[in-house]
Amino acid sequence: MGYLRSWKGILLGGLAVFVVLWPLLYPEKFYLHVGILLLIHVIGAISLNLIMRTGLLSFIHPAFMGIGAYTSALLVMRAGLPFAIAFPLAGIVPGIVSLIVGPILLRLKGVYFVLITFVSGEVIRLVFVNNQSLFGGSNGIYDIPSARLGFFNLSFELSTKISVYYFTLAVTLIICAACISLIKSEFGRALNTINENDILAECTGVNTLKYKTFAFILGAIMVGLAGSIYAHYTRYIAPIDFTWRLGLDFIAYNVLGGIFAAWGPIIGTVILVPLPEFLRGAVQYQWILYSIIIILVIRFMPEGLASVHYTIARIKRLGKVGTAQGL
Amino acid sequence: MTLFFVQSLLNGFTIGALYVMMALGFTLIFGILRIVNFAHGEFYMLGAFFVYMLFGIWKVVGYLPAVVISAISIGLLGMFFERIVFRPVRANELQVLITSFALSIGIQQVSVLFWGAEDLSIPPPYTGTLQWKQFVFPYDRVIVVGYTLLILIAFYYLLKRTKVGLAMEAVVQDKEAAQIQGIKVNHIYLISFGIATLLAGAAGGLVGPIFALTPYIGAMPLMRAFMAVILGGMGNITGAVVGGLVIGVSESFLTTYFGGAFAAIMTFIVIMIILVIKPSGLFGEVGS
Amino acid sequence: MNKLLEVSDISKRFGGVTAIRNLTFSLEKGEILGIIGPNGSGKTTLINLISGIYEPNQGRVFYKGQNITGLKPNRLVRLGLARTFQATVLYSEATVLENALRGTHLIMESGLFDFLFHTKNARQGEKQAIEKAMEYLTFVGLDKVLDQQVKNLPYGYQKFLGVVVALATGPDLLMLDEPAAGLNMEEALEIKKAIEKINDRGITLILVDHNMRFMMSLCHRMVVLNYGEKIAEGDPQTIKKDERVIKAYLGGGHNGPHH
Repeated sequence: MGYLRSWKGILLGGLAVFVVLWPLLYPEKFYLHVGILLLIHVIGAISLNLIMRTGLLSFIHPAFMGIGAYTSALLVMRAGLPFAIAFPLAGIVPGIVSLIVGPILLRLKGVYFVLITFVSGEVIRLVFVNNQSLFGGSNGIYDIPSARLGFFNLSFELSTKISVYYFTLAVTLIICAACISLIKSEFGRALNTINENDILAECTGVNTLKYKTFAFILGAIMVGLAGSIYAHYTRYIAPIDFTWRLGLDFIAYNVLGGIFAAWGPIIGTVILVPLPEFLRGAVQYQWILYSIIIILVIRFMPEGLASVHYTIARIKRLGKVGTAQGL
Repeated sequence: MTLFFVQSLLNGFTIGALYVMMALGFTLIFGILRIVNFAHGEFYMLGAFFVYMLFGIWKVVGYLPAVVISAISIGLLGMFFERIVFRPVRANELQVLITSFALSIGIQQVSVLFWGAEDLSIPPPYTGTLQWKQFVFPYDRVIVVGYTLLILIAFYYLLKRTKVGLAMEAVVQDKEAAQIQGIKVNHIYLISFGIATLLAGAAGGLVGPIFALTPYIGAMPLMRAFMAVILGGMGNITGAVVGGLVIGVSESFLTTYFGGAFAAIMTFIVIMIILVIKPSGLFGEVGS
Repeated sequence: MNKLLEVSDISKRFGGVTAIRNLTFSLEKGEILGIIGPNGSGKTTLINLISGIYEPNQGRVFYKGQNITGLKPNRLVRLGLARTFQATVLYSEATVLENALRGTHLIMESGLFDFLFHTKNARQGEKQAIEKAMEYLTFVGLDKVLDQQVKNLPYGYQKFLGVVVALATGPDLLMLDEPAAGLNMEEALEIKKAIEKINDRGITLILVDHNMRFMMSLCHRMVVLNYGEKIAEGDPQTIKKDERVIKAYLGGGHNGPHH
């Protein structure tokens, strides 16, 4: 176990260095762009992971990202608030919305939950589409100013891709650290038990509704922040950016990487996000690829890539016909 | 009875017929296989496209034969997917959900590859109208309602009078007991899935000429099938029929008098309320 | 009037079927109460009602004088009410220790802050949880198979593990659903001894089973159900001679004491 830990340590260390040096290694705009989008999607994936661990597929997640994006953009553009205030509010507002709708939606399970979050996400989107004056309707909001850190005189504008990259990286690292810490704690274990058997979880004292709600709200807050970063980076947001298809993306990252592995969502995102950027212009291939990947992974490696050792163990066990226990 | 009212009613029944067929197939798959088939709408879409190819492009058969061939092909396709895609993951609900969603996207996008994303149309197979007093009924809508009725009768007969149908009901009641009685549960699953997708394909073929044709037309009937089934109770046959008609007719009236967007939002909201208050639907059992 | 549990006139209907009808009984602290009846008499429904999985259509349940009707299972566990399941309900891919730790959730539970920053509070909770889990695993003799995956365990072991998980929640009242089902003579004896040991520690027990012989040898008092209704109540000797009970069991045909 000791040597494994050092392997992991080296891997993590190397990864950290690579990620931090990314803009210097690949300074071309395209690579920075992919990097930034990737980080935003990592936040989306890992924030969704918390609620997915309870076995729930939440399609309202992209709507929360949208709420965060619109909140941040509008607070800066219309209310004249500094980004330093708009940014946390971009997390808090979806958090409040999730606090209100969560306890209602979370009483449902399985397909009912999928359906109601699907529908709720669409309704939220429709609110954006149908409101021309405030949200710009289906055209959305354009010319969103770049994020400006700091206050008034002592401020730094994130106008270059490199600066946005590093800011996003910092936020992503903090969010990932928080999520992974939660996942490895009793909180995460309780979430897992809710998925595996929610009646048993209840009967061992897990307040399933409370834990699901916490996971739901935390996820909403984090993806709201991602929405704000997205808004001030792309500088143009429209309702069409936040459809259930984005929700499917987040789910796909989790499935590919492994829902129940701590690093699963990150791995899944890292593999899937750059793909379409290199297949630009062939959007339908991207979707077909996604669906084939999802179906195959669910079928042959349901634990995901991060848990590849489980799959290998299973394959090994199949070869040991006749022996009692596996591994 | 005003003209608007009756026209709305007929439209409602036409749409309702479509929703009933979709809901029936959907609830059949859930009731028997416990699978929520997110891809159900795509089978409807393919049904319409198959008719488009057979009747509209290649022009090898008449409209009705095209619908029949299309429906049967879609049924076979459904059986293929059940066997290859769903059966291995059937045990795990989360995996099934994800898989069926992925399948839905996959089928949709492959269709975009074949046929593009632009509007296409099936040449109208029936022209003319039926006249009764001051009411004017387009032929094609009457046909749709008529054929749906026929299909429903055939379906009811299948379910209640044939060995296969009784076996299907046995599997729903108690899978283990059915197995002990010698019923090959896997075969029943296969057949049920096939019948369900056949219904979806038939719906697509029948309703296809009435609306524009794109690979994205599956989403709406799927949503409505969901709603009808939620209304009527998942797995409940009667509920699916009632649910489909209620949704169809109310949507038609809401659209006529208040406009499409309002109708959509209203229906969503009502369904959400039902989901929260009585998730098992109007006819469903309140279980644990 | 020191009743630990009072079930007052509860009924439960599922669609058209009445599973439990106007049921009333109570439980003294320290007792081992047996709920017995032929298959289908509503025993499991009753446990589900008391443990909060079902809510009664009418009637009330009192625990330590408090009205617990309609409370969710996790609330009841906090109040000291635990149960096992008839079919072994465990996390099959996890190990014995990991499963036992699930029962200690309440010990490890703390605030979000503690979870996030892995504080001393959280770490202490985890340490206590492992101690408690080990204590109960040793109590039933499962400490030898700590690292085994549950799915590889023989059925008898799994049943014991189910009891450990429930015990780990620290209950005052423990309900066992069909504790003897599926066990051979030896294992049934083992679980009988374990139940007596648990009772000696001051834990009140409700046993639900249809095995007459097993129940007679353990229970201080019994309640007999048939078709959802209480048909008899009293100590085992009285029950044995009760006419209605004999009829219910003989009338049930294949529901003899051996199943």
